[in-house]
Amino acid sequence: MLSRRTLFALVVIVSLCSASAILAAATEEQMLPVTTSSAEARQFFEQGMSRFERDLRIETTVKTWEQATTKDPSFALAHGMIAFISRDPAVQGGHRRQALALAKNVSKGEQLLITWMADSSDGHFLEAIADMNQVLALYPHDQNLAWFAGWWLIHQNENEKAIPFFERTSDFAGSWNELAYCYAARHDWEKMLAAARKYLELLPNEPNPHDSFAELSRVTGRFDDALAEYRAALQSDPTFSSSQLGIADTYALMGDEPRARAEYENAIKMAPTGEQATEWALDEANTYVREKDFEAADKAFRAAAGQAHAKGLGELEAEAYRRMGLYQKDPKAGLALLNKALAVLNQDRKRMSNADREQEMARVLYALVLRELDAGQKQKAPATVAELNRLANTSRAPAIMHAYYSASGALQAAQGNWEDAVQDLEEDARDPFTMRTLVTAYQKLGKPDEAKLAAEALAKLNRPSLEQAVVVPDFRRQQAAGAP
Amino acid sequence: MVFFLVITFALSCSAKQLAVIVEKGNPATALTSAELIKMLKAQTRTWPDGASVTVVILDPGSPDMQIVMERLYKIAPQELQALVAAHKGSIVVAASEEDMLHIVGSTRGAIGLIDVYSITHDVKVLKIDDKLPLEPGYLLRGK
Repeated sequence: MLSRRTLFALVVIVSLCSASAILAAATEEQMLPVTTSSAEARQFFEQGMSRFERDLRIETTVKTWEQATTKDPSFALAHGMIAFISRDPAVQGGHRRQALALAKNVSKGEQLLITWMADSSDGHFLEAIADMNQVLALYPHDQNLAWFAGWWLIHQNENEKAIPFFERTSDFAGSWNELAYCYAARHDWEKMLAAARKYLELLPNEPNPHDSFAELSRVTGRFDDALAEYRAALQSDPTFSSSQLGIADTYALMGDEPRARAEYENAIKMAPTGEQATEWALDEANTYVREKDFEAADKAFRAAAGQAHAKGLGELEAEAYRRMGLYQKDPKAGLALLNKALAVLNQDRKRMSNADREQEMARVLYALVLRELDAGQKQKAPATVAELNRLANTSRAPAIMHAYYSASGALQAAQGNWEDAVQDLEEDARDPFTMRTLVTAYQKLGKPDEAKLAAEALAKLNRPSLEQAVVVPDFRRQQAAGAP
Repeated sequence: MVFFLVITFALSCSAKQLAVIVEKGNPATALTSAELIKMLKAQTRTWPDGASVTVVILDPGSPDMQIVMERLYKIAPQELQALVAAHKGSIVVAASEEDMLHIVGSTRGAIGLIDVYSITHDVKVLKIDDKLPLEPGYLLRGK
């Protein structure tokens, strides 16, 4: 084994960044060092970083970084980055252990970045924020670090805070992609389209800029543009399955459900993993809900649940029952399905990552609260909200927090506590059920302007989700019929 | 395609949470909201360890102070300005969040309120009513 002194003598300190003129002009001291004993490993790491910033292709990036750790098994930062972005719990765990064990051998900045990612994964968000601010203060000119901070903030649903980081890193093509989505979140459609166009201009021959432009066009209801751009993405890369899924989703939102189902079938054939194939089968089942053919929907969801069960994908099996629970006309039938979803999550613990299981559990509990209230079980709903509160106290993943606030807001609204309801519902003004309750809450509080804004946002919501399928088309019809 | 991102369609500006921060050497770990309000209004002048309380706030009229005004002071910005003027030295207006972090981090007995996404390792975050920022039901959150 090498002594620490020898190891440090071998260490090559390199800059994370090499892509832009700004980066070239910055001195090495201004950049976060990257400690590795292998020039080849460094090259793979930089390639992966550049790939990730350009189009966020997780699988490709992870593979490239795994090549870096093969060349240099002591490459702490590469292990840390893989652990943080990989979607595979087994991969996450192994690389995380390596990163934390090796962190003592690397620079202060790298240590902070590694603990920032680890704290974030563990749900220790206050520590993660402090780690982030400290490393950003140490390396204020490091463009990759700034981009990463923006990316992380987006995943904490802090789009507004992410914007300055992407504006600072506008030399990266991928920053324009992120900016487009951030502007969309603040409803700044003009800037959104300008940023999406810029991303497309910078990478005209890659599929992702077309895919993003398509998705953002769909968001604003420009379905024909969306379809054209998804097709352009597939022309540039026929294996780009997310664009095929996008075509299916777009037809579903346009109301052409038979065509949507045919396109989902094509997407499923292209799915890179069995998990995604099952997830997209669930999306295909949503089309029957849009047609209000609930019998066919039940059949399709049960088939997808069976497929998930056979593949050992417990959270997707539970999701199938959760989705079914939300559209059942009889709330008691819905409750039975939601309890079945809970049973799956409780039985199959070992086969699921804890984080995925908890997030699905939170969504199921939120759905339970909605259906308990629909069923007039007002005495049961507070206990379910309390259970969600316990879950939110142990894991502060944004999805769990949103489920908690939505459930708590729904309960407060059902109890007529409109002020408290609004405070909670505003924490998750993305869920169609929440948005619908928020419209009512604003009306009850005598806030017509807020109610109008919320109603407009809900009516314009073009998200290809089961929740949108259940809430939005009916809401649009009611609005057209002159509902307040 | 954007990994993980869900477009939120926030109805207006995004939700914000404020952290109550003190100097790292301060032995306190938690306050009730009633205790916090008394400190902010300069009604409580010392910490249990005897250190003098220095309240650090941002400009009372600034948007960043809206949650503090609504949830804690419950007075108009002009009234807070008068309170600051009447307690020079024990209530300090910081020029920026960086300034607040510097003052709180380097002043024994100082207490401030800052956007939770601005905290650093140079300050300690206190629980309020037994909850830290980002925990469900935390008091100092809003638009």
